[in-house]
Amino acid sequence: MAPKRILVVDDDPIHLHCAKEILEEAGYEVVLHAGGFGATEAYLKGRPDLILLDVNMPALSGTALAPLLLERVKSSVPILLYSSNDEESLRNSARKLNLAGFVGKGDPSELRRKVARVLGERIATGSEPIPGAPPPTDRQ
Amino acid sequence: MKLALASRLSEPAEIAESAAREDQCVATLISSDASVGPHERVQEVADRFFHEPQLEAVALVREDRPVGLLTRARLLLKLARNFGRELYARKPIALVADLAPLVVGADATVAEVISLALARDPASVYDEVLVVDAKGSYLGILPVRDLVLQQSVAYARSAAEHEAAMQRTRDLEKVERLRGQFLAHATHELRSPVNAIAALAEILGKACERSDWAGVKSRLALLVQCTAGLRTTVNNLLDLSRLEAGRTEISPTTFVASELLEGVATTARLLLGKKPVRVRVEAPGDLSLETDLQKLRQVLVNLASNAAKFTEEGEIVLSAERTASQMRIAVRDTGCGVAKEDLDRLFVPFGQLEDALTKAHEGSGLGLVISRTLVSLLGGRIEVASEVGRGSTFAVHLPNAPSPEP
Repeated sequence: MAPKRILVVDDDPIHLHCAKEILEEAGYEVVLHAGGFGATEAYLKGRPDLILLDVNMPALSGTALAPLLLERVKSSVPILLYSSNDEESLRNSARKLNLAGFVGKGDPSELRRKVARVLGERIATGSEPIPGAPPPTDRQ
Repeated sequence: MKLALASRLSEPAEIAESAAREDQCVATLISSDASVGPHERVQEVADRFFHEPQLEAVALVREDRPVGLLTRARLLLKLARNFGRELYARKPIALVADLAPLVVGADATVAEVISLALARDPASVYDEVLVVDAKGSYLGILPVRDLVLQQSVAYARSAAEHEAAMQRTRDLEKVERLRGQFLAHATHELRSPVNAIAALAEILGKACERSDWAGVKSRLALLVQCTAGLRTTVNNLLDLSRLEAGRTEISPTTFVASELLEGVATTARLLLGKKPVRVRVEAPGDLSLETDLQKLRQVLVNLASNAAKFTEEGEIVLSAERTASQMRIAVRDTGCGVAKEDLDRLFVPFGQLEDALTKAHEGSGLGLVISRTLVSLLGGRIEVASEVGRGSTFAVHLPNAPSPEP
């Protein structure tokens, strides 16, 4: 089976690099996009299974971009908000925007776990959960 | 009668709505102390009103106690009625007077008295009020009109003060909001490199496990980059807090301007890397300056770093010149420039920071705030001129003789 593809959108090249390494190491195919602008085109081009979306980006925040992107691509691709500010407000934003959830930067194991959970859930839709998969996502 | 009225003044319910601004004592508003004995004849009092056009009312006073009030209007009404004069002219004035006037203590406030006066029967709402001293002795007459005028003035003043207070509240709220944004921004600027370092540490660990030494080396470079950025942010925050706490001292020395500018130019060239941008210094070789060298260097390095960051091609010129009264040191670039509407926000404390979620520029955004504060500490000011797409000039104006702020 082809590896799941993840689009990482972040304005910080070092965070882009880290996410790429961590996720590739976990067996995913990773596509990077620098900054919020042009993210829709990057999605359409790569058709990823998941978008990891940074929140603090110049001029266009992840929370502003997420609903625009989903609207424009007419897709329900899961989006995980990704930020250094690990705050309850961001978890609330993810819930309000009906996104797949929030993952804080700086903890690679949490990133792997949440990504697996979101992608695993989608594979398992309508069937048995994957054996050994973590409990259901915080997606509302 | 009067004592009962006077005692009502002490009931807080009566003055519930009196504003603090109307706390002036009514004693100062007494307009006359006209009085007559209660047995004086109506005709004599009428004659007195006739001869004294200014007289609006008289108090009926017996043994220095007020026992009634006769207003001009009330007397006229009594006398003008059918056979009024015939009926009353020879009678004692007490017969036509109001024997239950409003009597208040001299220490009552305008608001209290108005509250009492307006609570009266509508027919006597505008009747004068009698004022007594602490022992109940008659002091004089208080026109309700003057009271109301006084209250209007108090209201107008209070409205102005209210508006001023509201403005202060709005200003404080704005500062609070900006402080909140500043904190959110600063927090993110600190967390972001720390998180990158944490992630890089794990990645480095895995590279070590694989004995991928080239990979370790390349990632160590990223780690160093992160720590350098973090150090700058931490230093800026510490600088800012020291400056805000007023714990920065000035140590002026004399030095040659062009030497300082050459040093700054070297830093700018390093930051520009391979970008096609030339860095030049324009300063007379003998031009010397007397100010705090370290602080001025910090300011110029900050301005030159900004120029290097925002200039993709062209040149950066560092210049120094002396005018009649001051020294002008400028950093001019051919970079992207700053939009007119954003110029004001560059140096406003906290104001230069946008919402942390939509920051429009890289960096902590503290450099210019620090620079402006440092320059003002050196007794000078920073001016900026900029055109989008053409470039910016940041000019530091310093007095020829150092005059540090207290």
